[in-house]
Amino acid sequence: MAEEYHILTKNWGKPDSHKMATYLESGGYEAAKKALGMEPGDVCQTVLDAGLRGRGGAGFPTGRKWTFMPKDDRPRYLCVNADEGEPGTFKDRDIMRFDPHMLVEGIIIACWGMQACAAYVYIRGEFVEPAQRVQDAIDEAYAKGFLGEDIFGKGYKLDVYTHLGAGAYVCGEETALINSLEGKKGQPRIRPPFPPQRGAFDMPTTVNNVESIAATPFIIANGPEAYKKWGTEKSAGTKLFCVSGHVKKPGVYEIPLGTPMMELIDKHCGGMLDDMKLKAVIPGGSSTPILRAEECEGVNMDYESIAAAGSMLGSGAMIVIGEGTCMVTTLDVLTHFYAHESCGQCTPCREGTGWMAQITGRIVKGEGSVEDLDLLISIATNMSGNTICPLADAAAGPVKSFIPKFRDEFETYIRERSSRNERPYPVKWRK
Amino acid sequence: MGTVKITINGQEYEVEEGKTVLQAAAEVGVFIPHFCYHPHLPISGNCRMCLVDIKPGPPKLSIACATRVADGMEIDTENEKVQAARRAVMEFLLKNHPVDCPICDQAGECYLQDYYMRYDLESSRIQGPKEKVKKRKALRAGPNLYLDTERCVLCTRCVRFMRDVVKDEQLVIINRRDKAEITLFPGKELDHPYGMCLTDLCPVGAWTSADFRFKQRAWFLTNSPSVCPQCARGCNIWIDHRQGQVYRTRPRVNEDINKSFMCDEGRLSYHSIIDNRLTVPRVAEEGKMKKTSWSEALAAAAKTIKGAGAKLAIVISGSLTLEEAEAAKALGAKLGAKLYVHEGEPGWEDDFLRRADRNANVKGINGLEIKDKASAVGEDAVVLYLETLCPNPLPESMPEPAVVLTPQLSKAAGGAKVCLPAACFAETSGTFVNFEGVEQSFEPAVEPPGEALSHVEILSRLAAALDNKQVA
Repeated sequence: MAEEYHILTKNWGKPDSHKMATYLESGGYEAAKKALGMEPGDVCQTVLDAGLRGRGGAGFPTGRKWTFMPKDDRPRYLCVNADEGEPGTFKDRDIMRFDPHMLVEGIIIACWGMQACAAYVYIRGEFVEPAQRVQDAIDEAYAKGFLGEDIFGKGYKLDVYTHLGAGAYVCGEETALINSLEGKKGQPRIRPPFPPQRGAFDMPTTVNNVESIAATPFIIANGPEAYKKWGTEKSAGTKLFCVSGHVKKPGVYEIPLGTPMMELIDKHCGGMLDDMKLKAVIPGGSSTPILRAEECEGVNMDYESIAAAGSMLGSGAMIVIGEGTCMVTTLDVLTHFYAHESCGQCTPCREGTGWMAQITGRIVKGEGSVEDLDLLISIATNMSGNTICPLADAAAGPVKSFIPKFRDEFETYIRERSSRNERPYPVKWRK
Repeated sequence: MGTVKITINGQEYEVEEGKTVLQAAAEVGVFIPHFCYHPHLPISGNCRMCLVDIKPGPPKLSIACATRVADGMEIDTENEKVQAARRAVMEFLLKNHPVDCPICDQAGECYLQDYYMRYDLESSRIQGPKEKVKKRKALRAGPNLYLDTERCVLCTRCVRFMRDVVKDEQLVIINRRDKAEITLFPGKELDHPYGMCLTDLCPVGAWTSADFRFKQRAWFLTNSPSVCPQCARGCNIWIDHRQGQVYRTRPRVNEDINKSFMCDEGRLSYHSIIDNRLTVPRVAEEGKMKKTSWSEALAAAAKTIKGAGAKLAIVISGSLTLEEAEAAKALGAKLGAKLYVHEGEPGWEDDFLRRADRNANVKGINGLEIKDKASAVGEDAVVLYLETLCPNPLPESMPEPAVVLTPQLSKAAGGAKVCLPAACFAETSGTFVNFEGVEQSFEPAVEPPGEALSHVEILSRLAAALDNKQVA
């Protein structure tokens, strides 16, 4: 049932919600038309006034990011980041599956605001269906004259392309995404130059998350005040949260920012699975520090409140962990994930991620020692902040939060060479 | 270009604008350790060894190789945070590095060894060799190269050299994480004419020279600066030798001429300093070359030259030094003989370093007003020929030289009446003028072999022998 605050998800659940006809029925593309009647600078200002913050994880104000594009005569590009690789994140997928036209309309608005001549939607390679839906929506938009030459008769030309990734997590990092888009190996670039100075194909480029772009039609159509009606002072609007783990109804939920975490778990997700006790929550994707159950008390789902609790809102990928889950094997899954996904460019990350995976691997096998825990923390500390991109920090994050917060459990596992938990393995595929 | 004021470790300096922190620091004598940074390659910024503390700036450390200096910048290259980061990077690099220094050719000139001693000195925290990632070793990557990907620190210097300098992308890094390794395309060899530059560029022992493999330890070698005589570029080189024996040549940095590079042909031409040398004077007797003493050989040469009279022609190699050419010119003036310069057929050329002119000093010799080519020598001339290493074949129209001053048992030496053993470029001092007109002088690196003397010395003794009235 659509709630009043359903901005991004308003069409979800309607029959053929991904089709142009459905989207037009709900007032689609009116915002894009309105935007093209505005000065580009006013479009950026409106988005900035609405307080929309980047939904990919960093939370940087989207409207401000747009103003970083240089005012010269080089062609400018928008890259839409639909790589969505963070474990636990699956919100952009549903935007692309259920309402791709909202994304296309957002692209028109963003490109007009930045005076970009082309947009590339970089979609995670595994997202076959969402990519097809986005491509179909783009084709429909071209057929209607909403894309291509002379959009809405305003003399503005915009082309939109989809590009499928090849499976690397690191390509969700904006400069790695640009390299991959150009056909190079997906490795982050050193900055400066930042993408607005030299991005895709050496031209000024802005990379925005799907959800950030999809939120702009509402903001343009209804004005910044309507958007700021939801959320908190510093975290305006609504956000998609993808909840996975031990809840009764995992899935994507759009709620206003600032909603209490417990309300999201208990009301929207139907409470804990099998009514088990909450053990911990990873609030914003696998790289964000874990919060123990008691740390989740009173935490609201907005950037500031989660930061105050010592973690990050990230991409809104909340992983709920119930009592009885082994944190040692859970950490092992995460260290192996980051070792697998380190691009291998910077020394600390290349060697550190693999090393941490080796150590957690031997702990899980019962061959670890208590000293290994301090070694893990030391490796994680040595990696943090010393690399080109934040993957090293992402890999270090779980280690640095799991071990101190569940030290007893780790030590018990090491001493007894096995887990006392009823669910020793968090996922089936690893032994 | 203006200057900016920066502070490095509390000391104020005024440096050129636009430089990177690493370059600016190096220029004022502050060394910042690095693997991936190389002055003649594009910046990569991946090794993380050059992390320094820069204020104002982000709270985390910044890489000195990619950060440009700015006015008022305060740089700390030695504080606790920087040292900790360096130790961490060293530990990560050594985590999977095989400790095979005893059999590694790079030992002694290895960045990992040097930096370990200078910045790390911590003991290993891995549980023995079983924790090291295994990769390919002793891979014959090309005619002149061995590749050991276990030793590799993945700084990508070699990849960038192939891609951005010689523009022949034969190398890539495959795989991710700690399984990443340098590789060639399947079934291919690294066959680039500048491929051996990788052995200089590689900061560790991943790329080693097949030619130098297991020949000498680097610390036993004496390095003498010299100039490569293989083409008109005049690349600056180091001649690395021990006990009179040359073991290798390497490019020596010269920003204006060859930067840090040289071609494989020039690099491997040092073999001619060793192989097939003429060590004693020889005189033709009953159709055979017979070893003799200097005095007899000089007398025989003087006799031949006197007998030639006006038919005498002096042909000098285009790779002779200015000093040698001048001595030859003086002798020619004294004898009234005409001088010719022998250049030979042009060789290969590219748009990087190599020049088609395979002589080191044609421009310099032409500057001495010796411009006629050897092909202009008359058919009935009696030729005094001054040869150098790796000679170009003489023109067929030219009569076989009667007297040859040569460092090696060449074709010309085989047919001569008298051949006199001469020193090569590595054994004399001299000056080459490259094709751009740059004069480059060099000193001898090693002693001439056997009884060989320098061209200048032989010419002066020859002149004395010619003056000797006893010679008929």
